[in-house]
Amino acid sequence: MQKESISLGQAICLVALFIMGSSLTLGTAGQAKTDLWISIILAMLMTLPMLLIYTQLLQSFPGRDLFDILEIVLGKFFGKVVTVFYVWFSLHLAALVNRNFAEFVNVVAFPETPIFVILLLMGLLAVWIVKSGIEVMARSGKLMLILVMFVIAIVIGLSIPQLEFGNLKPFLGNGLQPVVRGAFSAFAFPFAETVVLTGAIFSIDKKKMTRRAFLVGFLYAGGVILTLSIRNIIMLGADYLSHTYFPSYVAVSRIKVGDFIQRIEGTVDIVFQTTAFFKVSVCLYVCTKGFNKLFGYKNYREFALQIGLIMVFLSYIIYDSIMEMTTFMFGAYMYYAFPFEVFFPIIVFVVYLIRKRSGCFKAYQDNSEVKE
Amino acid sequence: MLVIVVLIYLIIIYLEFKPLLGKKDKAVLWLKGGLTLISFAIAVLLSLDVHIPSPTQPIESVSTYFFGKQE
Repeated sequence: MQKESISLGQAICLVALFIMGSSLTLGTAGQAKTDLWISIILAMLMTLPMLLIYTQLLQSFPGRDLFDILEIVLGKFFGKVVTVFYVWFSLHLAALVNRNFAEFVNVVAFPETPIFVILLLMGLLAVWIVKSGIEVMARSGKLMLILVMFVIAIVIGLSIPQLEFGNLKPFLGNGLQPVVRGAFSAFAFPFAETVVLTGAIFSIDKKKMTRRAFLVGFLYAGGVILTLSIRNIIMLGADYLSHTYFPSYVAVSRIKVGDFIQRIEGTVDIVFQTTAFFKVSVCLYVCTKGFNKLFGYKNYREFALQIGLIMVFLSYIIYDSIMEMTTFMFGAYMYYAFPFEVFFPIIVFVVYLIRKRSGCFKAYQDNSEVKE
Repeated sequence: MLVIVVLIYLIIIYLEFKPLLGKKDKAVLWLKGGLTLISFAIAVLLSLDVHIPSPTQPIESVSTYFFGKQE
C-alpha cells in the first residue's frame, strides 16, 4: 500500500479543526464563570508540556503512529493492552462529539426529527471520508478552515456593538478554586484530546515538522476558543452563560445591526457542523487504525463502515437526555479522560527514555529514516 | 422497523463481503463478520425498543470511586 503523507499546512488545519471540535458548540470551562478566560489560558499552559511529550514521541519514531509507538516502546503484550484502551477512547470520543452536535441540532433546529437520523447522517459522512483516507481529510480540512475562520471573523465583527465590558467583572470574584476546576475541565476537553490526533498525523512530508504542526495548530485553535469564550461572556454575562447549553449560538442570535442584519445564528451552524464533522472523522480514523493494528491488519479502510456503525449506535445509547450529556461532559469526563491524556503518554515517555539508554530503538529509528 | 434494519444489513453484507469472498485472507472475513454481527445485534435491539445500558453511568461511578464526589 502506498504511504500516505500530508503537508505541514494541512496538518496544522487538521489540528486546529480537531481542537475547536465540539468545544465551540458547548463552550468550555463554564465552571469559572467570569474568570473563564483565565481558566482557558491556564489550560493552554497545562497542555503545552503534554503536547511536547506527544510530539517528542512522534518525532523519535518518524513515520510511525501512536499505535506503532505503543508497541515498540511497551513491548507486544503491554502495547496491545494500551492500544485497546486508546481504541475505546477514540471510539467513545467520536460518539460523544457526534452526540454533542446531534443534540445541538435536535434542540435548536429540528426538534421533531428523531436524533438517530442526525447521528446516522454524520456517522455515514465520517465513514465516507475515513474510507477516502487521511490525505483527502487533510485537503478538505484546509479548505474548510478558511470557511470556518471567515464565518467566525464576520460574526465577531458584527457582535462588536453588543459588547458590554462590565460583564467581565468581578475579577476572581469566587476565588481561585472554580478557576482551577475550569482550567482542568478545559484541559481535558478539548485541549489534551490532541492525544487522539497522534494516531492520525504522523507522516508529514517534511521531516521533524510534527511538533511545529501540533504547536501552531494548538495555538491557533486555542486563540479562537479564547476569543469566542471572551466574546460570549462579554455579550451574555456569567449568569446567563451558565444557564444555556450552547453559549456561542445564543450569543450570535443576539446580534442585531440596524434592522436588516439580525437572526444570523444559522451561520454559526456551519462552523459547528464543520468542526464537529472533522473531530468525528479523525476519531473514527484513529479508531479504525488502532483496531487494525490490534489484529495486525494493514488496510484500515476495510473496517471503516462497521466501526462507524458501531460508533453511531454507541452515540445513540450513550445519553438519555441533554442534561445527562452536560453533566457528564463538565463533570466526570475530565477524570475519565485523565489516564488517556496524561497518564499513559507519560508512562510511555518514561519507558522510552529508560530503554533508549540501552540503545533498544536504534534499529527502528534508522530503518524508518531510510524508508522515509 | 425490524424489516428495514434487516434489509439494510443485507445490502451492507452484499456490498462489503462480496469482494472478500474470492480472497484467501480468511482473518479479515471473520473480523468483519464479527463487527457486522455486533452492530447488527445492536440495531435489532434498538429497533425492538430494548433499552441498552449506556457506558456513561459506569464511567461516572468509577471516576467517583477514584476521585470522590463531583459537583
